[in-house]
Amino acid sequence: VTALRRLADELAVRDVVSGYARAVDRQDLAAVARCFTPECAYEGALATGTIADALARLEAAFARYARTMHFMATQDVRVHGDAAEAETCCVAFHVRRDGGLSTVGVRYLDGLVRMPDGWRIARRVVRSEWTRADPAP
Amino acid sequence: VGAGQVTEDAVARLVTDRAAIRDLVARYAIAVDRKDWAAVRACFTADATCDYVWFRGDVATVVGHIERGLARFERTMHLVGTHLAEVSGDAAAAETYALCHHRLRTADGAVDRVVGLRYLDALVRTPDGWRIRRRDVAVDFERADPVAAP
Repeated sequence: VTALRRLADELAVRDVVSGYARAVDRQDLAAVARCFTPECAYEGALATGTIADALARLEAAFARYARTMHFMATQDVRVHGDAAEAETCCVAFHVRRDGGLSTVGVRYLDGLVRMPDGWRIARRVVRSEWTRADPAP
Repeated sequence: VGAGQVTEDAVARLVTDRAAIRDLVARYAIAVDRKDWAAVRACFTADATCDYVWFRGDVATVVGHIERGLARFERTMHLVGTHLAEVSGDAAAAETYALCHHRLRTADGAVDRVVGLRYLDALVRTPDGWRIRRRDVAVDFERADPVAAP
């Protein structure tokens, strides 16, 4: 594998994680689902089980907030052939319907696989590291 | 030139285009923080149009509004986060999240005004590199926190 192709793979993996952020923030459930393999193992606040369990609860989570912004920052990506690992720190802003702001520092620990149509998350652990709550301005 | 060579070239082009687009968006953020308005204008094509929610228009108009709008702040820091771009030949579409910190000095002390927004950009490849031809801003939240010290 050339260095160039590894760079392209790393970019594609970053795009999957960023694409998840955009899909969630757009409240586009189908686009969220496309970031994962159908049988993706999932462990986080939404569910412990598979991505299907998390997706089933995501729509209710959408309804709780006026808007969200998943600001992806620090990211470490390691590609090994057709598998990859990505660790991503995210500041997730949740605009509440009363105008208040709930902010969560999230760490995503992802295992990805190369599928015929691109990289997908096959295993995800979501850790909430810190939170803060601000009243409506 | 075999098929493999062509593919390798295509990969190289994609990776370099994506890096250039990411750099352009970062360069804009740093230029705004430096109040280097010539550098801000240089991120756009001459015929670019923008909608910044608070104001809209051509590049001269919009950069003028940004300059006047930021004049009252001691400092700003535009943090760039989530970034996605799709390149199609000599055109591209990019979405970039930004956390914009604005430090304001008031009679009651300092205030940190934070705006969470997304830049939605249509870009074009020019002889001088990638430039923004159309920018729309979507504001996700705003917050103002009093700053205890310094």
